[in-house]
Amino acid sequence: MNRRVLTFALPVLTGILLVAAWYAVRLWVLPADQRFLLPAPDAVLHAFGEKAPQLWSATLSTATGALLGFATAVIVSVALGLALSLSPLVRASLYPWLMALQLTPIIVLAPILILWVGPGLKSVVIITFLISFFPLVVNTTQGLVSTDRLLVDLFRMGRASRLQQIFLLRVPAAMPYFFTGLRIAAALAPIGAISGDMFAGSSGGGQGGLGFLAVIYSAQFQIPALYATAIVSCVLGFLFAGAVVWLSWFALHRWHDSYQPKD
Amino acid sequence: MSDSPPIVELQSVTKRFGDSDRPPVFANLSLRAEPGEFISLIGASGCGKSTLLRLLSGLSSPSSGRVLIEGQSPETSSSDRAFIFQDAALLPWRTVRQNAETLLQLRGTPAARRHELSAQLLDLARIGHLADRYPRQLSGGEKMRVSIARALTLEPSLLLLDEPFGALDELTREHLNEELLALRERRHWTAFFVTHSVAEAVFLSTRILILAGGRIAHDLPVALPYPRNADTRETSAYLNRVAEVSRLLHAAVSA
Repeated sequence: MNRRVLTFALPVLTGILLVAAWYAVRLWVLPADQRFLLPAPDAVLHAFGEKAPQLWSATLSTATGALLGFATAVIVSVALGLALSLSPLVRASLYPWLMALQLTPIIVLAPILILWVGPGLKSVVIITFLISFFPLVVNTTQGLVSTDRLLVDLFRMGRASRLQQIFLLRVPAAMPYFFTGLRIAAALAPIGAISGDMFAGSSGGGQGGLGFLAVIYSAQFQIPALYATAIVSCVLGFLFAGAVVWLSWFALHRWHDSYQPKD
Repeated sequence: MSDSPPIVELQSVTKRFGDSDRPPVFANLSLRAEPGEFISLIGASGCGKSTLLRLLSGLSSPSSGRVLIEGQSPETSSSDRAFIFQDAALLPWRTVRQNAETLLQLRGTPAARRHELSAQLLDLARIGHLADRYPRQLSGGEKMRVSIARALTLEPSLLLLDEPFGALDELTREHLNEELLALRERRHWTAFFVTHSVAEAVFLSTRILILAGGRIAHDLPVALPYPRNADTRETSAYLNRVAEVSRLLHAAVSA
């Protein structure tokens, strides 16, 4: 019980200390003419109130892009992972190109994409997809081809059909790998959407996402509002990562060793 | 002589892995097993015991010669064989009950019949009370019981066991040996049992094969009466047989 209290109390305590340090740095470290670089926490709080409507609609816009891109990434990677796992030939022919796509910086791809599909949600979704699908494909494929040999023998002895082997054995055995990929992808998806916003968020009737807002506030030198945008982006990231951590717990905690209570 | 074919017949079977210039695991091996026999295979590591089981299971095929299960090849044989591995080979995401039902599910047995059979066998293996647990919550011995129950749901005529109790502690192993024989009283399968333990082989078997140098060095009957139980291990007949088989095994391995 003490432990549970501590796991909540300690981060809160660290948070309070950080805010105190924030004030301290602002007051005693920064010379007066540079204090604008680090607005006081209460100024940021004030910006939240002032910019609430813009922040809210930008968050909705980014969250929509992140969610759609993430969902597309999950669907495409599961299908692609299954195809890749079935044949070494498919793997050999596609893997280098997937790598190439992953290694091309998204910042370079984004302008090309916008030329193709135009600015707005479509581009944001595609950029999010591109940034988050690679860890999903790799982990899903790895999981599907890493099935325990002994269990494969058991299924062969039991004269399992190809489909039975895939759906009763390989797919469930790949779940822990899939969720590892899903956690990485969930952390990347909001980052992808926000980067997408920076390039493509300026259309659609003037209202862009958080990335677009950050570009605007930075250009207008609205520093407390810029900090508020950063904090909202951080919270969005937490929501995504948290949802997947919960989903992973829900799917795996009954049987997987990683959820085994430690003694 | 009856007309029915032996449950297992090996006709000059040779098995080699890789290039033909490498020595075979075994050469020109011939063997007959009649229904109801409990045959243990012992020998040094790498003598081909497990390879022989894999041939009987159809997971692997001979380089030359023929393997027959009730007169048919292992791939096409309609007779049911079940394999029990050294590792319990349970699906970690399935409960004990679902694990016990896996093989029935693969062959499309209706759910109601599956539940009935698995419940029956889990009770026989004395783990009925663990039906809703997951494998990670079980001890090594309990996992092996699930594995045995799962194999027996198929009502196999031939049971292939590859050192099933090798990873268990001595007490659990002896206990499971006794229960395996108790199960055999009720279900009349033929067994091929690979083990490193001479004591275990003598306790369980009607017949012991010592494999050495790619052939059957000794084919030894075990004439102890069934049912055998913990008391059997105290008898001089048992102890003498263990001593004899050990001596022959050492001689065969060092020859």
